[in-house]
Amino acid sequence: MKIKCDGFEFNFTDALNAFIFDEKDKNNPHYHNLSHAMVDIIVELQEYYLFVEVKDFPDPKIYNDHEHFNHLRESLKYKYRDSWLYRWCEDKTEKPIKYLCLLELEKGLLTRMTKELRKQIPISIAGARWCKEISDGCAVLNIEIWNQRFTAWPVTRLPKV
Amino acid sequence: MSLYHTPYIRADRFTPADIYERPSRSVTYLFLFPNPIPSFMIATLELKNFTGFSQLEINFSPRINVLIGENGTGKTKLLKAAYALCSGISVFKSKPDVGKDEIESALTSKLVRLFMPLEDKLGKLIRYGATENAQLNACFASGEKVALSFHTNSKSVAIFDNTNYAQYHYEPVFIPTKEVLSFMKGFNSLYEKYDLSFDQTYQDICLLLDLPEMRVERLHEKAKWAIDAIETLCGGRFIFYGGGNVTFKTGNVEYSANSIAEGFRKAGMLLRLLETGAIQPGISGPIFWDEPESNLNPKLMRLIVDIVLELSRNGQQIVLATHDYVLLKWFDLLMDKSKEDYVLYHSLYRDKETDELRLHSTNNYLAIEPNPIDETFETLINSELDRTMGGLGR
Repeated sequence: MKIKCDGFEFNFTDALNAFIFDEKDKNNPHYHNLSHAMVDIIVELQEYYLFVEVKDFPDPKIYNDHEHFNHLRESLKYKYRDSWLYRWCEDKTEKPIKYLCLLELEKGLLTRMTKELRKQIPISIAGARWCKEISDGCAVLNIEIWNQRFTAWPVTRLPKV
Repeated sequence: MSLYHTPYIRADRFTPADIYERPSRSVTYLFLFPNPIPSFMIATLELKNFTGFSQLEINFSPRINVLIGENGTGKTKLLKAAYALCSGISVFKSKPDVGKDEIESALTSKLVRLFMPLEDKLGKLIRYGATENAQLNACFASGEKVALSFHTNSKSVAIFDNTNYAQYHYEPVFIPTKEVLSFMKGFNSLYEKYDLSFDQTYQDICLLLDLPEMRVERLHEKAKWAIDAIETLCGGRFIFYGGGNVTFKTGNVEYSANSIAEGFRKAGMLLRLLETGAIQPGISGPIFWDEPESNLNPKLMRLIVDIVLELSRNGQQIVLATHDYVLLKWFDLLMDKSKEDYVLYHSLYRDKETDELRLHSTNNYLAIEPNPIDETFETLINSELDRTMGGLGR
């Protein structure tokens, strides 16, 4: 199932469904009519949902700076949580959800972002008080690692128009 | 203009805006040199059939050089070879009109004591399987050269080019991986008397650390700043009584140097080298530093990078080898082009086809290739993905 988003084309070959979640086109059936930020793509697999966020930065070096990095982390965190809420409204949270962020950052920052998002979303059940998990897993990766890892979900960069 | 063909050219003819692009055999490679290039710098080093190297040439930045590479790719050997060839001053300073024989004898002894080959035989430093002589060539910034060779049965190196070598009188410093403050008491006399399993970098550094301290008014302004910064972070100061007897003092209380953190002792070595003037920006020869990161906490690591950058801005050439992402990253983050910082990253790797050691140099942090430190992160990310995603998407 092919899907174009933010200058990339994904092919989720084993997906039951895949669509742009942050759909701003009124003519599209997935138009959300909401002002809030949400993840870019939702993919439905047999046993899971994937929330996919895509960001291609013109200057990835700025995320070495604490403030920029934290701002990005907050944006990724709230996009996930808001998206989860909207999916709950759609009654589409019956399967565990995994969150994948495709970011063109250097590898040291990818591991740091994964760690911080896992803590802040949070991933898995956060303590005895909570009965359900808000996310089953989270990973932040760049296009090189994505394609090495997800051979069934290849992604290509689209030529710039 | 290719730097490769004129590695020792005086740079005072050029401006900082001059960029030399090397028509390299394997790399794209930009040089942006400060003006003028300091005369104490080592400009190039070429190794042929020496230890693990069949043929390798490195062009050094006059400022900061960072060597990376997996274990066994020759980082320490390269540092030691460069250090050995910069060490001619040890002969020249006592006898300016020294003959070639004596230089050969001094360099032979230096190589043997630095590399500690089997049975102390110089010939054992030839690359295994090489049919030709080993060669080491170095060019310095003001045109001085030293080139030597030896074969399997050589008792001594043979110098075949020492153009103006006697004029290179800038004493280099080699800071080895292990700190020495904890064991330097009596180390030098033991080293001379017994066959200790330490290479000569340990004796050399102990001798430099045991020098008397310079008068405060003669210390470089940046040396004073660095000494204060290290003392503040360590929360005290090291006292050197001579003979390798070192203590650590906080307030009025004095402790054995052995009782304080190893990272502090490591920073203490740098502090002492600045205090004694063994490191004097603009005067001393290159600093070769093997794995500065070992035993340093992250705060100390940032301070060390800050100090190294400041020293280099004031005319100190530095060549260091590291395995550490944080150290490497600090150089990327703290370097400031407006201050003419010029960091060259040199990646040593083994060629997959020939199994020979190769070098790729770049001044662009993101273009370091191969980058084993970065590859380690990739392994971590993949392990994380195994845990998070299992077999999904494959």
